[in-house]
Amino acid sequence: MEILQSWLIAPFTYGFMVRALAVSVLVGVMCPLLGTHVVTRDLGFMSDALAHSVLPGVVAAVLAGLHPLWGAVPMAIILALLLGWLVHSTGLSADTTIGILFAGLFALGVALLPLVRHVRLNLEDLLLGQVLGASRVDVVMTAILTAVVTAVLYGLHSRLLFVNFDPLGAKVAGLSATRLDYLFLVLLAVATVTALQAVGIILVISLLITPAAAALLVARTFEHAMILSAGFGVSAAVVGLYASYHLNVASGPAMALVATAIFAVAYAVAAARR
Amino acid sequence: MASVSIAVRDLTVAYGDTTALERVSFQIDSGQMVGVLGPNGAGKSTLFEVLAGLQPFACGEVLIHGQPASGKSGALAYVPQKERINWRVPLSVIQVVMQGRIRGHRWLRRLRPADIEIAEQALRQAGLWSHRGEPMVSLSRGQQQRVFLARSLAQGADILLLDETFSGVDIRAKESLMEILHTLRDQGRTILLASHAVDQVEKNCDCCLCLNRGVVGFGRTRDLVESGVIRNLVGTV
Repeated sequence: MEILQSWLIAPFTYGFMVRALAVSVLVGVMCPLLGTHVVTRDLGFMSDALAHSVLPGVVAAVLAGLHPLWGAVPMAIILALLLGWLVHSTGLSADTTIGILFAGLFALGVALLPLVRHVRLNLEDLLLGQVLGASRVDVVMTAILTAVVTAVLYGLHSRLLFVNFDPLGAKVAGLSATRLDYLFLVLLAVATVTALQAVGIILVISLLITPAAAALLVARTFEHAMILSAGFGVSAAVVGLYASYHLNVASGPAMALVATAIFAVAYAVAAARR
Repeated sequence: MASVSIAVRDLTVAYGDTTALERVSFQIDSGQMVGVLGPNGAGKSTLFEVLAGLQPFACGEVLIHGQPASGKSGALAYVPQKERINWRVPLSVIQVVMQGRIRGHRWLRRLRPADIEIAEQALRQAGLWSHRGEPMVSLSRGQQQRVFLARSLAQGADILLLDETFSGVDIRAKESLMEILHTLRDQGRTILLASHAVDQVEKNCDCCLCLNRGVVGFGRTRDLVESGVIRNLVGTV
């Protein structure tokens, strides 16, 4: 019993661990909910690019003395809309457009980093996340953004699903598929930069893609996949956080590893069913 | 006298320097089943996109029930080619049919019981009620097309655009689909059927629109068969 207590409860006698848990769980719900759309729409590269490309916005916010999310969220939204517009207007493929903006903006962010040497902002934090350093403001902002993303996803669920499944049929039925696509990209941008806090740029993809991919392997319906993926996301976040505390590994990579393990189990279950 | 469902006059559509449709004119009355024949690249899909209000055109006039085609009236429904569907999205049969009622319901609201009843009725009409809970991917190609037809019915559309509906469908399923299409036509719906299946068009369609960027022939199917227009086009289909 004492061992159980020291494993399960002891970590959360520290305030920073409670805040880290709150942020991780929120991100663990929000990202996989969106992830089911990301995986079925094949937008994995887009998510990765969004995570990398917000760096200039983060630097600008820090330079202005603001919370990094104040730079990252608008930057990601502008980028998502710009990507959509470039793809529609130039005829370039989405991957090509993403590649151009992703490389250029990440490079710009890296070039600007030396400007904020006086502030604690380094590449490693951005790449691997710093959820253990989450403040109360981080918790509140993550909760607000998670609530907004979840509410919009819920409210537009049938429309987003129609556009995802049959874009042309949805347009003919009178839905504004282009507007819904842009809105989805904005939601994705918001979720991506929020997840940066928990798992960092490199690993943001793990919470966005892996739980959803695992859920889609075993679920029969899209809604079932969404619920299951949120469960997987929260599990990855919580178990990853415990592993990070007890095994003294970085929290972002720990969460990503747990998510990958969940995917492996889901794959085995799906294979056994066939 | 039947009312005019679709009226197209001097329609020209171009993608950059490439002309997809040139000076296309025809008129279709309500309650007709019209086969749209033509080789790949003849402009069949472009024509459907214009009718659905999805494709801007350089010049001409396109009227749906006397109003300019805008895609906002909900009068048209589209039964897509299999390749245009994202099959990675795991949806059940009834979920797809319910999509036909989405347009009328507000954000954050569930479908009204009346909408659900309409969708269920459409699924019964397509003969797939017993499959309502099954995943779309588990159905045969013919059954999937019947689900999309049911969605069009649920939408309340009276003009159906069917894009290569018979492609990859076995003979029995084709006959079953045709039975449903005949019923829908007899109920007064206008059906445009883009197809490479010339025999199906010849056997079932009242009229035929032969396209090859422009209109090669338009009229009663029997007349076009007898005059050899379809046979000449078949060589290129």
